[in-house]
Amino acid sequence: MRAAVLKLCRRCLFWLLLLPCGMAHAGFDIVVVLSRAEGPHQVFAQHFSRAASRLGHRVQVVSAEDEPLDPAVLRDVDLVVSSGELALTAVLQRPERPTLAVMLGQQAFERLRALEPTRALGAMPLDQPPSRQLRLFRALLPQAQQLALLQQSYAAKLESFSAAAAECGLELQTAQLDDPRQLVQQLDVLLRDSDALLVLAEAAVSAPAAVRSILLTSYRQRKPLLAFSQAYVDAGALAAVFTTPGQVAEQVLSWLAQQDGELPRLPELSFPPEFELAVNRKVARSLGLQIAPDEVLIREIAGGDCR
Amino acid sequence: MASGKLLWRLFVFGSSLSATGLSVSASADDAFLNEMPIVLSASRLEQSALDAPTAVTVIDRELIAASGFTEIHDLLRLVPGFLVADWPDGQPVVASYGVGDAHDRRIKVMIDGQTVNSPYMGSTNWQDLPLRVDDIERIEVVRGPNGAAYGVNAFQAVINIITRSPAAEDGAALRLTAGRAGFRDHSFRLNGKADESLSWRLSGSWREMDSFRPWRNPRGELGSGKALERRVLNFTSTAQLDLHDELNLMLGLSDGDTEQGTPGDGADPVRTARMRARYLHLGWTHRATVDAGLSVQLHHQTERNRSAWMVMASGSPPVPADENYRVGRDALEIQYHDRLAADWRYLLGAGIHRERAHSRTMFNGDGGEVSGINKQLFGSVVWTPLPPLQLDLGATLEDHHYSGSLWSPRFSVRYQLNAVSALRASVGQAYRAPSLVEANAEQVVKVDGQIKRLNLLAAADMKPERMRHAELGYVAIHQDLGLDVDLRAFHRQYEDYIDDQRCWYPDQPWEPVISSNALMCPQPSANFFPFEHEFMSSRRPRSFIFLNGGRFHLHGVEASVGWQRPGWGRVQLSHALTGINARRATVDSDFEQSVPRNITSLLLIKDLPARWRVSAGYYRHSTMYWLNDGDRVSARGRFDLKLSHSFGPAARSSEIAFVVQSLRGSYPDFHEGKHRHQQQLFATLMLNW
Repeated sequence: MRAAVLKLCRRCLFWLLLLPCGMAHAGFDIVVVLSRAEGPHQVFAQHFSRAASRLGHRVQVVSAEDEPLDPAVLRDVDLVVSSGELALTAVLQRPERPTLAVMLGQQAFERLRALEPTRALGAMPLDQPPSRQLRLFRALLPQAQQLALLQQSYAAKLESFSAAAAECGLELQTAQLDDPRQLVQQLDVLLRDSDALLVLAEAAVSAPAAVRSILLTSYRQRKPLLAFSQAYVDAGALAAVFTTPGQVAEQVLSWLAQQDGELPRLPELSFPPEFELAVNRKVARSLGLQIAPDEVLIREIAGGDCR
Repeated sequence: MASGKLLWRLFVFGSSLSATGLSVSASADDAFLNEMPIVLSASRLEQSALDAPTAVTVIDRELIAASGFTEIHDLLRLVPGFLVADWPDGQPVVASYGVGDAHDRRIKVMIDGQTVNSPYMGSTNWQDLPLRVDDIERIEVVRGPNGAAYGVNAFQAVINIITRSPAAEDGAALRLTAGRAGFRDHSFRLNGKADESLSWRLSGSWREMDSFRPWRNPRGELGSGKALERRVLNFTSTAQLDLHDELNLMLGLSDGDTEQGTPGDGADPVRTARMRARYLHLGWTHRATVDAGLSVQLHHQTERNRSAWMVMASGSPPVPADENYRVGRDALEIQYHDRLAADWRYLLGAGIHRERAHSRTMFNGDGGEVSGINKQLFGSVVWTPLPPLQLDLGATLEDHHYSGSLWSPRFSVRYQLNAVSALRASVGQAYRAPSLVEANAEQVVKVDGQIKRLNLLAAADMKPERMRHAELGYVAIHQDLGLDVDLRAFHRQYEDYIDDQRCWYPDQPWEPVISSNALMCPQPSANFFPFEHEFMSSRRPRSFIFLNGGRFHLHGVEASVGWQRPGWGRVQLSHALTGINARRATVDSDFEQSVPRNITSLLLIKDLPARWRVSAGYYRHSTMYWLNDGDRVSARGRFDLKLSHSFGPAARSSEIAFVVQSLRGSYPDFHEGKHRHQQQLFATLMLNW
C-alpha cells in the first residue's frame, strides 16, 4: 500500500516537472512505429501518445506488422520512435529520419545499428544495468557469492557483467552457449558450483522449449534462477527486475522534455532508470529460501551499493 | 494393441509439431516481451515442508544415488517410520510403522500422480513397476492417511514417485552392474534433445538376482528361495503444444520370470512364475494462468501372472495348482485448481476408474471374472486469513463398487512461527475399501471338477476399513545452516480392519469339536470334497476368510533431521517411537507385536578428495512380527556401504561404484524362522554421453 502511494507521488512529481519543459517549444512531429499493434507495444504507444499529445507533440502511431511501412508517413517528421525489433528493422529500410529505438534489447539494437552505422539512431533498451541485476542477486541471497551467467554470444555484455561483479565482490561463472543443443549439458556444469543462475534476454534462452529445459534443470539442482521478465518469473524463475512499457514511455517523455532544439538530440544508449521487481514466492518456498519482502528488496536494489 | 496405436499416433503428432514449425519457438520479436509457458507450476514444485498440510518426506536424487539401492522399494527405508521387507513367495512389502503383512495394500503408490497399486490385492508389485531407480527424480511420501487428497485407499501413506523430466536431460547413459551370487543389473537411457518442443526418454534394463536361497532352519526345515529376472522398458515423452498446453505420455513394460519354491518339497516345488505388467499414462495439462490450471489424466494398467505347477504329495495323485491371474485398471481423472482471492485457493476434481480381474482359481464361479467401477469427487480449499495462519479443508466422496459411498474429510491448520519454522495440526478420516480379492475370493484347488481345497474366502457384507487420525507436527528449515528438522506426534484409530482368519466347517467329519463362538466358513458348494490332510503334512485342511477384525490404536512420535554442507556431505537421520493397543482386535494374536517400538534410519554421505564419495546407510527396527505369511523378526540393524568415484568431463560425469548391502551378511527378513535375505555385493559402472 505504502509502495503504491509512493509510486503515485513519484508519478505526479514527474508530470509536474515535465509540464513546463514540454511547453518550451512548439512540439515535435513524432511517428511511433510498432512491431505489433497489440500487446506491450500497444501499451507503450497508448502511454506515450496520450502523454506526448498533452505536452504539445503531434503523435501518429503506425504498425509495421502486416504491410510495408509507407515512406510518406515518415517524411518530414522530427522523430521516429520504433517500438520493438521488427519496427526498427522496417524503419531502417526507409529514408533516414532521427530514430529512437525502444522496447527492444541492447543486443538486437546493436546488431541492427551495425547494418546502418551512419544513421541518426539512439536507443533506450529494455536491458537492466548489470549492477542492478547483481544487486538483485545480493538482495535475494545475501550469503551467496557465486553467480552463474548463461549467455549466448554477446561479449560486450559479458565484459560489463564481469566489471560489475568485480565491483560487487562477486564471483561470476560464465558459459557461452554456442550450440543450443548443448544447453542442458552446459547448465549441469555451470550450476554445479554456483549459488544461482542469471539468464540474459537472448533467443537461445527465451524460446519456450529452452525456458522449460533451463527451469527444470536449475530446479533439479535446486539453484534459483534470476531472469529478465515477468513472464519468466511466472514460468518459474525466482525473480527478475524489468521495465514495463509504461516506464519506457515515461523514460522517452522525460528525455523529450529536455529537448529544446529544432531536432531532438538522440541518446546513444540510455538504460531504464525505473524498474519493477517480480518474485516467485512459491518457487522460493519450494527451494527453502527466505526472501525479504518486496519493499526491502526494491530498496536494496535501488540503493546503489552491492557489496 | 490399442495403446500401441495410440502411442504411435501421439509420436507422429509430436514429431509433426516440430517438423512443421508449429512448435513454440522464439519469436522474431525481443526476448524481453515473449510470453512463456508456466513450467514450475504448483504440481511440479515440491511443496515446502513449511506449507504442507500433512507430514511429508522427500527422497531426492542425491539421497537416491548415495543410498546404493537398486530396487525402488528399498528407497523407502529412508522414510521415517517405514519398514521394508522381502520374502520368497511374493513381492517385497512396505509398511508404515508396522501392521504389515504380505500385501502392502494400505499404502497408495503413484507414478507421477497416477495410482499403480495392483487391482488384484491392492498391493504394489514393486518388482514389476515400469521404471528403475535411475528414472526417478524424487519420491514424495505423505507419511499418513490422506484420503481427502488422494481418495479411498490412501490409507496409511501415499508414495508419489516423480520421474525425471525428459525436458531436463539429454544424451545417453549406460549402466553395467555385476555382483556376487549372480547379481546382474544392466540398463540404458537415450534422450531426445531437451530444448525441443517434443522431448523424450527411452530407458530399459535387464536384471537378475538371487534374493533368497533356500535356508535350513535349526529345526532342519528347508525354506523357499527366490531368483528373479526382469526386463523393463520405459518411454516417456512430453510435448509443449503451445504456451499453455502440455501433453505427457508414459509407456512402461515390465516382463520376466521369478523362480520360487523349495527344493525337494512336493507341496511347494521349485517353479517359475512369469509376470508381465504394462502401463500407459497420458496426461494433458492446460495452465491458463500462474494460479489456474486444468489437467486430464488417462491411465491404463494390466498385469498378467502365469504360475502353474503340480503338487506331488506322497501316496496321492498329482494335484494341479496355479496362481494365474490377469488384472487391469482404466482410470480417467480431471482436476482444476484456481485462486478465488488473494487468500483463498481451491482444487476440484472428479475421477472414474474401472478395475477387473480374471483368475479361475481365485474367483471360483462366474468364469473367474470380477470387476467394479469406482467414481470419486474430491476437492480442497485453502484459506490464509493471516499471513502466518493457513487453514486447509479437503474431502473426497467416493462411490465404491463394493463399499458404496465413502466420505474422507481432512482438516489441517498450519501456523508459521517465523521465517524458518511452522507448527501443524491435522485431523481426518480415511477409508480403505476391500480389494477385488478381499471382496470376491473363493480360492480353490480342483481335481476332476471337484473342489478339493478351499483356501481364501470372502465374507459377505464386509465393511471398509476406517481410520480416524490426528497429528501434531513441527517443521524447521534453516537454509543457512543446511539443517532441517521434522518432529511429529500422531494417533490413529483403526476400525473394521480387514484380515483373514481361519474358519471352520462343522459338517466335515475331520473337523474337531469347536467352541460355539468359532468362526464358520460360508457354506461350500455341493461339489466340495476336500482332502482330509494338507499336502505333504499331517495338518488338517484349513480355509481362511477375509473379515472385519476389530479395532486398534496406533500412536507414536518421530523425529527426522537432515544436515548438509556443500563440499562436506550430508546426513539424514530419522527415528520413530511407536506403540499399539490392539487388545480389541480379534484377528491375530501377533497384532500387539506387529509394531516395532523403534525404527531408525541413517544415511551418511561424505565427499572425499579427487571426486570420491562414500555413503553409509543404517536401517534398524526393534523386534516385531510381520502378520499372516510373515512372522517374528528380531531386532537387527542392516549396514549398507557405497564407495563411488566420478570421472570424465563434468558435463557428462561417469561413475564407478562399489556397493555392499548388509555388511554383516545374509539377514532374517519377513519371517526369521524361514527366510534369510541374501547379502548383495556388487560393482557398478555408469557411463554418460
